[in-house]
Amino acid sequence: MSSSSSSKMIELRSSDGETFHVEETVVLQSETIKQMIDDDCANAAIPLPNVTSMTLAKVIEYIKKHAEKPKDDDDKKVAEEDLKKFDAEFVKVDQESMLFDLVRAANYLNIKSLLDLTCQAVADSIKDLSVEEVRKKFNIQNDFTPEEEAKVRKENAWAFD
Amino acid sequence: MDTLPSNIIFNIFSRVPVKCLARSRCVSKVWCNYIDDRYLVTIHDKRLVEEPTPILYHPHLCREKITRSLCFHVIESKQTAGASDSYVLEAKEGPFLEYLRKTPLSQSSRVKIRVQGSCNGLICLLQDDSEVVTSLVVVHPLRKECYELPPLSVHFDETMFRDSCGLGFDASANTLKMVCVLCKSNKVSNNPDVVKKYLCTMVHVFGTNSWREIPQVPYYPITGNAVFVNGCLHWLVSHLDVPPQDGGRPVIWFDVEKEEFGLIDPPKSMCDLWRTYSCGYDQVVDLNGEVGYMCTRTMEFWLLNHKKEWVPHCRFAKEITPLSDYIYVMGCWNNDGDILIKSISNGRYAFFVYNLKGGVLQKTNIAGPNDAWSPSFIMYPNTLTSIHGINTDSTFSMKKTILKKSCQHVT
Repeated sequence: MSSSSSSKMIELRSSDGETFHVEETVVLQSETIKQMIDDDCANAAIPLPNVTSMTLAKVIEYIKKHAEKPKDDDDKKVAEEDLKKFDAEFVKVDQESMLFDLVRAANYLNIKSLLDLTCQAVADSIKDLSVEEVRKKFNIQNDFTPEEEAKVRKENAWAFD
Repeated sequence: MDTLPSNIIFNIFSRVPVKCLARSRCVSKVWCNYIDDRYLVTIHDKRLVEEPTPILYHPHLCREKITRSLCFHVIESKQTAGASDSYVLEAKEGPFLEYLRKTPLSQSSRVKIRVQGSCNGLICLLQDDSEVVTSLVVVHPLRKECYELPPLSVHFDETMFRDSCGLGFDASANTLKMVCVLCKSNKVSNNPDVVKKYLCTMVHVFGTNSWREIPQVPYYPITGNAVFVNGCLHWLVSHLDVPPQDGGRPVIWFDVEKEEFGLIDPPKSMCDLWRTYSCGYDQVVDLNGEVGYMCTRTMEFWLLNHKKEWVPHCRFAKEITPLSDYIYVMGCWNNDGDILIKSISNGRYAFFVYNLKGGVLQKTNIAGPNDAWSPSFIMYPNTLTSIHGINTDSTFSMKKTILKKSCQHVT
């Protein structure tokens, strides 16, 4: 890869109109944007109508970190550890809605590693919760009648101890 | 979360442990539908391999030494401090499920219940009365559901030397099938055409109310428990029907979807036959979702590969093998592939775990219930299929409620 192509900047525009400049090599982690560049649709700012500026900033932070290349093998191990720590911190968000925004953005931008990371984070947060806590945390309306719920609970009684 | 595209919801749920998913069915109807979706089963089983849950079962005897019921206990493995390779097994207090026997047909007759294999976490039970199998039942132990199959019109011998059955899942039709291969004659023959006339294959599709005889029959009568792996049931050929001088016993397979039989030659032993048993004690067993073959005379294990060839797996060294009358393989104890065996010597049983990596056999300390008589284990798979009910067919669920009486929960 020549140095000129690695320094080429791509402009991204969030749903709320903010623009971000990211190196092409970094932004290629998004299959969706890669496709646009391949199709020569990336000469002007790329509009991302499904991603807010707040989410996009987080996504860019993630892909920038993941684009860093280690220099040698020793460095590689350190970098891997470092990346693991970064990922763990990255999904520690204050609000559940931010995590879902990231899941949606990763899905829309088609960044597989970010989708895996965020989906795993949601799954991990479900793991240790009671049914009531899950409903509260994810703001889910319980649409079972008491009888229906009792029936489903009975079917899976073993899972509640 | 409900506003997320379905592919993302499936992605998230495929990373959640089975027990938590079972619980999460109560969150909402939308969640319940996602969790019950067969697509989730496909992607979940690929992503998460959870440790199996050991379920101990034993016939409960009443004073007259007659089986009264079959009790199931969940077992917890406790690793003792300091000794990482020693296993302490403790039954959770009280059976979580008790399967009651039927009333004997006459005063002199005895009713026995036996476990005849499992498939996707469903356990197949047979009850016999006066040497004839009178009832075939499939139990979902965790959901405490019970499905009784229609009565068989063909004689099913209780000894099962030359009769057996197996429970399999037909993924293409999304249905369970019970297959019985019954032998109608006491004669033994090496002529395939003659054997063919003795044998009869009966198939029951779950949700229907009958058995149908299919024209296909295996090359030999079958015996013992079936192992269901990769869409096929596997049985050993009856030891009365294979020449005893040969190395081991062939295995009969049955493709549950295509309803075809096949024959696999016995594995070739690489070492001396040092235990003085006939191959009549060889076993086929489910080892973490693969078909395993154990040769009793050499204590060698093989696994069946996709080309239906035997691949050497492991061998118990002479020094570690217990000097017992019988050794039964229960299955894999954990995801590392450690093997749980039961050894019976002078009527006393002991359980051992064979550590695959270290090649050592550790005696376990089964702290079973006091009234347990000759307990055995089912390694209950923690897969998503195992939390699904037996059948959601509406005509069937009516039948299920009536049958629930015989399948009682002990509190």
